[in-house]
Amino acid sequence: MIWTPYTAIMFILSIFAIVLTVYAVPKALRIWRRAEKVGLEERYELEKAFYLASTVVWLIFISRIIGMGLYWIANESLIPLVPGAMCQWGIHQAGHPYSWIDSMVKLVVVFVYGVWLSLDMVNRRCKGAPLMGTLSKYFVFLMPILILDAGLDIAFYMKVEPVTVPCCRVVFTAENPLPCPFCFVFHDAPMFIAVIAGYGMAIATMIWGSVIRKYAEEPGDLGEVSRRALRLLANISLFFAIIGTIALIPAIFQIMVPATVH
Amino acid sequence: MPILTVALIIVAIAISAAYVTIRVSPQMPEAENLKIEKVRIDTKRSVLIGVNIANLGEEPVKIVRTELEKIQAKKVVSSRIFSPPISIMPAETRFIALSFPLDPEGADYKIIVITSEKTTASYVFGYTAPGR
Repeated sequence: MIWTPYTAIMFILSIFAIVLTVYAVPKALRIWRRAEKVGLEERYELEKAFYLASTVVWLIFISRIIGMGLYWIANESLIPLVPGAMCQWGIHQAGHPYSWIDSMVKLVVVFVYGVWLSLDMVNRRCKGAPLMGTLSKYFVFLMPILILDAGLDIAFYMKVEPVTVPCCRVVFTAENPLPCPFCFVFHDAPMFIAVIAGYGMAIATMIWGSVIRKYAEEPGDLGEVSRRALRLLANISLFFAIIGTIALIPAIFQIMVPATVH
Repeated sequence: MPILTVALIIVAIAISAAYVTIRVSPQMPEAENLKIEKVRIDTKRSVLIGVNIANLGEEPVKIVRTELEKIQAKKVVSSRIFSPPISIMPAETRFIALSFPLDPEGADYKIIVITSEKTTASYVFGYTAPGR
């Protein structure tokens, strides 16, 4: 393993997530099993236990979402330390095969984690925690993804050593019509990071909203809070789509106009 | 509101598709009598300082522009317009001075020379700063 401040933070965040997940899963399992059957008295106790568990789950998801952004920065920090690596392709080669799976997992986890966080936001604004059972069940189902996400980070960074690796020059030759995605986005057209993040968040918030929509027709508190959450998510989604579209204009200029013109 | 978001995402996809279509559209024809013989690089500063171009034909050639494309990014990273154009006489080899920065981490590049008759000559080379 090559220790840089970023890989160290990634390592700590992964251990933190695994430990907290192992702590929270039995509690979520217990709440899921009992939520439908308990009486009024015991339900109050269960609600208190759920609020503690959900706070821990928030910590886990927030740490994973921070890790998702930090992952790309950590990979960039490794480029000068791995001989032959010109971009993150080389770092992925050094951490093969964990790196490639990890990157794919990183691209989808925000959609999945956000669903739980949005549902819990609705749940916290309703009286009597009506989604307590659903959220506990959903967290138990998410446990393998959380362990995979954090475990792959550890495996990837443990595998990277300062040995010579082949980089993207082997694959993305003059004959290949495609650019190397890492060179393109991170080095030569970095405005595309804002475009991808903007549209990615717009799509993510739409997905979160589509899950909450299921509860918008419910009577009482839950329906009312869900409808408000839906409106908020739609506004956030539009905001991010506008950010992505605004960023697209300088991003296109960045690739069409050479950096150095004499 | 979600319709607006979806519309914006579709606009982005359409713009990207249009860009890719423009990129792969037919390029300028190759100049048969023009040959880039070698490139000169200042490895201390990681700068392309010039190219040697030979005119193998029987007519003078006028160079109006050069571009440096980074192959891995498929992007023109530097360009220079010559005004007035640089003339190369038949059977002459001429050094054209440039000052195009190169990525010290390493990359493959294509230097493209464009003539006044809208023909091109190109040369592919790789560069990695010493010690990398």
